[in-house]
Amino acid sequence: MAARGRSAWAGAAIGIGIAAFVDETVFHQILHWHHFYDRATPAAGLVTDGVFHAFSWFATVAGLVGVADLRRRGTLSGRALLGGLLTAAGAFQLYDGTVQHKLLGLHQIRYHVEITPYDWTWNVVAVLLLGSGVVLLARRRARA
Amino acid sequence: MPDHQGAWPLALAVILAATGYLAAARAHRWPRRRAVAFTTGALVVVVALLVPVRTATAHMAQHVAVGMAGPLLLVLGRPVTLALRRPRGRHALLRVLRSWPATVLVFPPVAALLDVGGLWLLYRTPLVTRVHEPWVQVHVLAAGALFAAAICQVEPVRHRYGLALRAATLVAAGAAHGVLAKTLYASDPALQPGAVVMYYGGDVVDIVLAGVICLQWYRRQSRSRARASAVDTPVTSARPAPRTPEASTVVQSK
Repeated sequence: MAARGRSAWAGAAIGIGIAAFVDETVFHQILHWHHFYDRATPAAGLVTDGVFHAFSWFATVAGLVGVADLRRRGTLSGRALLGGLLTAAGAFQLYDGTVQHKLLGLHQIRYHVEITPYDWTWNVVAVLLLGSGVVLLARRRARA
Repeated sequence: MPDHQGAWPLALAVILAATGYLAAARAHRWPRRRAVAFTTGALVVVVALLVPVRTATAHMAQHVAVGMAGPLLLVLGRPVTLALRRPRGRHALLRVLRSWPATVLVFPPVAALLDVGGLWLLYRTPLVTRVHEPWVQVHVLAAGALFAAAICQVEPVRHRYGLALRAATLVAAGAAHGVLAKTLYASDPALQPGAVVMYYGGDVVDIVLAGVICLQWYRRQSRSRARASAVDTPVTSARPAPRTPEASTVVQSK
């Protein structure tokens, strides 16, 4: 159980990293939908975004090293890892789509378009990721 | 952006330090990867100092090289540990390392404040126009090295700070650096490409620093496990449930 919990936590750390990485590469760099900084963001939004950005990189590295350690011990649970990963990626994206984009008024998903469908798609995908992760983790627990 | 003329004394000092380092490394059977790290760091700093800086973007690239990437590589070369191998000056160096100012300076939050706080003063206040540019470079290099040393803790200082504190400090400093880059981006359209260089350059260095901290944890895990299996002491909570007699004889016979 302890090892499974550790696999789930390592997955969660990597999941946050992947969600942040996809946000950064796909939406900022490739599509250029997100703005680097739209100059309309209040200070609180900038600071929380900065902390999350820095934390997500650290989480990625820590999660990967955690997986290496679990493999070395031979106690890595692939399913718990995936469950943790999906849960955290979904939770992070949902947080990004609700608190960061809407509540704190950080950059929007896309500019000069009707934003509502984008917001819905973003958050529905987040809930689907989160839901499948929770199901994986719960099933694991029921079987144990 | 200020002109950066007069950086050559600092560049010369770095070249001299690298020469001394390589001479000592040759005399003391020093791991090659450390020598490579230090030499690369010195090269990065010297090239960045001497290449003419004409745009705000080049200035920011220089900032990342002189204040972040270069110092990190220099610190990974463990120059202080190497210097302690030489009998000359060893006593004085040890006294400095064990002094209370050194202990306070390598306290990670203090080092982070001096490093990132200095940048905030530099870029967000009129200070930058008043300080003579070469001294700015000296500060940026020294503060960057102090920060890397405080986060990595690979040199023999009196007090070593824990992994959690160093990790939290790294995240906080990385966040402060990123926010500074974004406020610079907002302050002046001419600074925008430079601010983006600062932001992502900082990310790369932060990832390497995170790797250093996490690999220290990884090595510590294997060491503590080796210790636990070598000595048949009471089982810690991280270990599995009570062992069978066969299992414990296997462990003892190792």
